[in-house]
Amino acid sequence: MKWWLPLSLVLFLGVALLSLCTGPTLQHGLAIQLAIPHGSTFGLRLARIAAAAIVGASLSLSGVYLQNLLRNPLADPYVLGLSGGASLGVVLWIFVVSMCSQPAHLPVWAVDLLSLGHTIPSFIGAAIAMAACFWLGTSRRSGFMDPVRLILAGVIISTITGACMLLVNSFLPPYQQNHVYFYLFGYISEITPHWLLIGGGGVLGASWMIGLRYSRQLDIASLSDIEAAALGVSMSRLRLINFVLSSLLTAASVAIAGPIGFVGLICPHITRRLLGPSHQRLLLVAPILGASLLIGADFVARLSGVLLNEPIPVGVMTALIGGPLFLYMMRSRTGWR
Amino acid sequence: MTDQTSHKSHIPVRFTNVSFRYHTAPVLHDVNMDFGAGCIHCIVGPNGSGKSTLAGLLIGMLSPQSGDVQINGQSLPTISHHQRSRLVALTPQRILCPFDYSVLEFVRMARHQSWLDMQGVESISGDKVLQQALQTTGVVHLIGRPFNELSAGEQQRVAIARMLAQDTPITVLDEPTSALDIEHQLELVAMVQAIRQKGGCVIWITHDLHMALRTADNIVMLKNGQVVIAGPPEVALADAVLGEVFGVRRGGLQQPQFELYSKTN
Amino acid sequence: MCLCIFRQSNRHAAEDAWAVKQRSLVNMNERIYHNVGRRGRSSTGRALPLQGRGYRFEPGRLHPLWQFVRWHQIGPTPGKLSQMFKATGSAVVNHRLYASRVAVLAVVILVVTVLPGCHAKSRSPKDADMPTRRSPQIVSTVPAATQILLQLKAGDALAAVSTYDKPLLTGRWRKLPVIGNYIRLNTELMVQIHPTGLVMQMAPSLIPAGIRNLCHHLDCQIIDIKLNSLRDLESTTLRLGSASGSAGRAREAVNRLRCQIASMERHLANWPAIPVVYCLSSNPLRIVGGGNFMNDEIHLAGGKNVGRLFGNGFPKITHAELLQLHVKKILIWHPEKVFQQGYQWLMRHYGNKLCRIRWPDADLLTLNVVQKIRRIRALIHPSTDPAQAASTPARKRRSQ
Repeated sequence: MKWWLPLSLVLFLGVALLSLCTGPTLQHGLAIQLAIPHGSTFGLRLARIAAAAIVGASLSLSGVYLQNLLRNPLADPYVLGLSGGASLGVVLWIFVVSMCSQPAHLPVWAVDLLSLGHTIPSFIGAAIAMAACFWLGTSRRSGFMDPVRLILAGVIISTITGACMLLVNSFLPPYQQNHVYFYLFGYISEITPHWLLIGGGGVLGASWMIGLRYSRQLDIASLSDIEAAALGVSMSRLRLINFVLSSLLTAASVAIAGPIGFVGLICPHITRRLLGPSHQRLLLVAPILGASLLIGADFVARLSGVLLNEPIPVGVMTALIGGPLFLYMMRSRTGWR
Repeated sequence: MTDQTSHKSHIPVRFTNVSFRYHTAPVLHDVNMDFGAGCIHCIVGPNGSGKSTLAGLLIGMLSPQSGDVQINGQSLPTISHHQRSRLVALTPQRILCPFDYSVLEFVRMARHQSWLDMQGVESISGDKVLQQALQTTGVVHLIGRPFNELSAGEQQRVAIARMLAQDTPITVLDEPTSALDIEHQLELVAMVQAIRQKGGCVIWITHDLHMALRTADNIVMLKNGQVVIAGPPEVALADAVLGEVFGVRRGGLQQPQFELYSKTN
Repeated sequence: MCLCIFRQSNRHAAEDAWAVKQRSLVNMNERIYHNVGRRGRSSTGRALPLQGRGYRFEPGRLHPLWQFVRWHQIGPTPGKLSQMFKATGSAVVNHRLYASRVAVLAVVILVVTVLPGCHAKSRSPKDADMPTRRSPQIVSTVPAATQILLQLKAGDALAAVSTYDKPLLTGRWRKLPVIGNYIRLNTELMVQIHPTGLVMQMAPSLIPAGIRNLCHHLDCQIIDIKLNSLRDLESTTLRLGSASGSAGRAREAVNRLRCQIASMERHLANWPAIPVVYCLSSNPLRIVGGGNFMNDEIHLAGGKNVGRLFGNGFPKITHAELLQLHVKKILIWHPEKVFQQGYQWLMRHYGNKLCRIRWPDADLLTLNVVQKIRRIRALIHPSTDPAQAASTPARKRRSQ
């Protein structure tokens, strides 16, 4: 066994344990206590850590696939417009719910569906954005899912969905606009439904296994088309795998925790810098690193919520941790590659 | 050498009435070529005559609008990617590497199929083909270096090493000497001749007429996507052909300048 | 022509090493690195450039840790999943040293996180079996509900407040724990508090399913209140009173409220309605429309809310539209701490018609609504003495 896999697992377990054992307590005036929890608190914290781990690993893995698809180490999971689609779905759901606030007027199935929360509308929105990107990204002229066309399609979709979201938002009353604002920053909740966690974990596991099986071919696919064809790798199949897996993972993580940025961009990058760009290592370590990063960021965000009045959102915390880390890694290079 | 009518199924590469267009611009018209085993075939022609398109057609990246490309008697679309990479290897003209793979990882990519075929564990130390490829091209001292940090010539040699590591009967080299210095060009010529000795079919795409004259057994001259002439160098690079295709005239030297250089040891 | 590829002596040495020992390519690389490191030159005789710290690819001048990394980067791990986790028998010596360091690090992390827990005393019985009758503990995410509870003298029943409550609390209530905002609750704190009631003000479908489940699990009642009009205030007060165990006081407060409002409505006839506009923010200009409690406040204070023309709720209007309205007074909600753009513009155009409302809970509907109405009345009608009511109508009718 190589040294990096046990080390990353140790890091992950350490961060998870730290997050599990630390939390606010009502005694001593809401101080922070470091102790193993028991009772309901244990279940709540475990659910939160599991959700953070799944979201972090999904985003990181999605970043690996997308950077491979677009052959660009600067691609992050939201570059294809999926978070815009998901956010638009959630905003539309909030709009619909706040307009018809009388449950008596709705049939029972509609009320049940609406009370499930914002996960299903966000998933539907992400799926629509994915389909639009797929359709826009393929052309007879450039071929099947040409990377450049995909990026352009993603920019278009992000712009359009962002504008539609602002439009719908302006029709909402002020106290509902806060709802949208809170969603956009991302939030890892202890009361994430179990079916959502299981679904997200299943998607993560399946994508991970598929990626590991194709790890050698992913290495080759990150070179040019002609070299991939010369070495016997079917580019169309690999592009489809990359696109579908990346979109599924991003959609699942946005459905669980809202759009949390930066994790999908920096975790593959850091792993590449430490362990080399070989996908075998990347696919094993990058998701674990992403999970650790998000658990850590959520942990710090919770602590800040105890010390200050309003907790810092997780998305802001990942940017605050990841941004300087990224800068430091870039600084130690001799030149831009 | 060019006429293998009695062994049609053993012709490694055969183009039959192949036409290809990039969207609206026609590139190849009705090209008919046979490439036999145990020969070095050079495809020469002016810029834009469709030489690199031929390479793309040969490895299955492009598919012809009409006509058929056959490898060992089998039509190319009917061969799976796996099988095709065991038959044809290519050194591309432009080598891109967006991520910083090391040279060893780069060359090892050619061996990714072999591990799928092997029953047991194959480690690098047991991979004789890989070692041989690295030794032949002389890049052994570079294996720890990142690919993007090498000079263009070294990168080309590494790409040739990867092609050799694929261990295929048909090898295609697309402008392999464009960045190499004279010493390594001669080494490449020797390498290619060694492949020919072993019975492989080498297709060398170049615009360097000196190199073609020196090394080729069979030259295919392309102009505007059509085969002008195919034959041994004395025939294909005759004055009349050169004048018609390139619009140049050969100078007064009886021998090409290239023969002035040879290895010292 | 004899082409000799191995021109340098160390290449011969490498070939011999392979031929003799059959070692893995990793070790060959190791030998190359050592050779290069000793001489500082590559095998072809070119001098290697010096690179800065942190550059891991330069052979011969690597930090031992990075050498270790690079050796293992080119290690073999073939494609089958089971083989990937098998050790490949590299001959590098430092493996065990680093493994022991990793193990020590893991033990340290575990000790640091687990040891404090061993000394923690057992928890107070908040998580224990809950008694059948609990004293009412209410978690309020609605600032208005918090204020109502405090006005009902039921502050002891208040267990936690929302983040928006903090600026409005005084005295010993400032130390109440904060549960978050109305959609992001601190679930852990909820579990520790184990409340009997959770006050929310949301469309029922927007209440997250997880919170509903949590309250069901904690046997906590979700008190979903509405505070749009004065009638809602009465029902909400009664609900909050019964939830906090001060039902009697709530009934008294409601009765008192009804009497005061009824008497105000009777006195309304004494004063003509003054057209006013109530601005909640100056840029963008958001005013009070119809159909809410602030409109009722203005009405009971003896004003005529011109903003009703723009619809219900809190519509946004442009400055041009405001200039076209005929208003006698403009009420602007401008608590001291909030900086508002556009206030200067209002000052310039309306001067002494502008009345500042400084109290910070102007947007909350609580039991002190009567005091608020009286203050608004004092602002709108400068002479608020009811005794002068008989004499003022004539003057006001002339000035209109």
